[in-house]
Amino acid sequence: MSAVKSLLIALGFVGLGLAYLWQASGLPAARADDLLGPATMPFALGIALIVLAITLGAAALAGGAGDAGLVPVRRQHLVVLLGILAYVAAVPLAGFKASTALFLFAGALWGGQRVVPAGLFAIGMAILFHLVFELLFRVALPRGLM
Amino acid sequence: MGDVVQGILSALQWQTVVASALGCALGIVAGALPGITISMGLVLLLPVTFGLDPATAMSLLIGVYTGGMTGGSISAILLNIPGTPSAVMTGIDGHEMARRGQAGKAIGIAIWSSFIGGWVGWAALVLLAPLLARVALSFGAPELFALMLLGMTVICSFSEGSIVKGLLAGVVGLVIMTVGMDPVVGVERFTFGQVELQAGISFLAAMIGLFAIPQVILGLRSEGPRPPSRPPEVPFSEMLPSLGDLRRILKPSLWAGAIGTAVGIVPGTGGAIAAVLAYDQARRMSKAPQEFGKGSPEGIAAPEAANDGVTGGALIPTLTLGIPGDPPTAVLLGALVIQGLYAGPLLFERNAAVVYGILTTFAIAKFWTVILTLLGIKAFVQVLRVPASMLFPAVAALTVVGSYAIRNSVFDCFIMAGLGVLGYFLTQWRFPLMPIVLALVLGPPLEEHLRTSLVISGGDVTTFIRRPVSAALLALAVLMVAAQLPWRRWARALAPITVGSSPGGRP
Repeated sequence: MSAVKSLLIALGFVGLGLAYLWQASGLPAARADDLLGPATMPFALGIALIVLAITLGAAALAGGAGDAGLVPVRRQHLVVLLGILAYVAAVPLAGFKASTALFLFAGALWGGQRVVPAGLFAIGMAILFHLVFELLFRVALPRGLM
Repeated sequence: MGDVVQGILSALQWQTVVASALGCALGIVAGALPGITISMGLVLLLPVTFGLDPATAMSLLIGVYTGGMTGGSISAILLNIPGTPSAVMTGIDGHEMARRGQAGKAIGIAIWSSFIGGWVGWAALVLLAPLLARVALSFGAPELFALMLLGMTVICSFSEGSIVKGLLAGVVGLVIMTVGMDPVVGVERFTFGQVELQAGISFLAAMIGLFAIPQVILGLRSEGPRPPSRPPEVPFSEMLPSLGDLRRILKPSLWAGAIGTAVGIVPGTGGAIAAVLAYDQARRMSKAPQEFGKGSPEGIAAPEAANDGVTGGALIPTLTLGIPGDPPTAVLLGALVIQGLYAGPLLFERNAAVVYGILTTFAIAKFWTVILTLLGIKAFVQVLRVPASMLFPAVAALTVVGSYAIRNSVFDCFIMAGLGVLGYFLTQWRFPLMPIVLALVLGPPLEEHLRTSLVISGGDVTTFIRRPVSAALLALAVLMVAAQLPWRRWARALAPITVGSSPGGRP
């Protein structure tokens, strides 16, 4: 199972390398004053990506170290990951303070806190961020569209 | 001489000294809290340094680096939960001693041996860095290209996991680096028409995402050991070692400091390796090796001194060559860039005062770490009780505000989150993240030196092998990769195929 996963990961990197090479093909080539040009480095990297990914896949097939010790992606990790992505997506819409308070509240609840401590923690941290970043460091935090 | 005095004076200004103390305190907290690494503590503080002058900013961050190394031992000794990977070895004898009711003595040994080891690293830094910088000043573009390639190769080779994964991670970092304006002729690459991508991927946002987000995801619902509701008492008087104890730990601490310094100089190694090597050496040298693992003072002193020796060692290639020795120094390299300073031999020539300021503040941080740990141990122990359910969401919020504050851009938050997700999956798939971070830092100058070399040589690729220094560095890079490849395993894997496919092959 681990070898299959490693092979899939390697294939993913091969795909990434091919897509990168395809995009690099649209870059201008070398000029007299710049013998390598903007495209050479991406081409070299694309090829390196594909060669290394194939090596990784081959190592997985041969049962080498390339496939050893893959840690399964757990469902609760994915929940936290989606929560973070939703939080970041909410920042330009709801503003930093509101989305942060909501995220902290949800995060604390998910982590096992009760409603009241989680709520106090969320509000307290949102105020602290406002004091430190907006008032002390003069960072204009996103206010959102709402 | 004027630069030396100016550097020392800048490090002795009150705001710089206060920043150093604050950094040490935050570093001890970051090091002590399981799941919060020193690198994470540093990246979360980076946005705070935007408005600070170079001396104050570097004091703050070097304080975190130095304090973090000692902080890691607090949770390792008291709770047997190492705050940092390099504190794992400290926990073996430290926790045994704490279980016998000598927690204060164990922490005291850790503090003082860290102090001794740290000075060994500092002395090496002060003596070797200017010499190495002077040698590196004679390097041209081909040598600098070869040097950066070697640095990247070393880190990819020595990273945890297979070398193929290390190299792949390095290439992924370089791929990310190519997004934005081309560094030589200013052509847009891989921007997909996005104005925000023209300036490239902010490596600070990338660092925040790669270092912090995977830890948040893994830490929020961690099933690891939980701190007890009442951590053990650590009396102040116990932390002051007797003359006999000091005499017993002095020699192993000096040795371990030297081992840590040597390990730190090699890019990509770090405190965990140094701690293991120093522990082993201390056991060999000890008059009571049977006590190791059962609460031996030398067993605590050696890994702790090695950890702190690493800090000085790792700063040598970082400051002189621009190649970070470990993940925290990669962040320090980024902090210098924020200040408009580029680590490397030219830093010693053009900004010598800043360099000597850093060396001085590094020494000050060692005093602060001892003073703060001794006086604030009760507070630091209380910090260990902060529940993960509050700590990690707060860290996630800090990553968002930190990445936003770099350029006041929400786009950087998306970049940070995207790379954080990538970092999480790569962590689970056992890919090292350090090569990606290093590629982001070294990628642009690497490409620039490569292209400049070819322009100067009129397109002659042999320029890299005709110049002895660059040829030697490139040969070393190739050897480094070749030495790490699993030749024997490949030969074993291929053997049945070769035998089977050969008609006359013998079994």
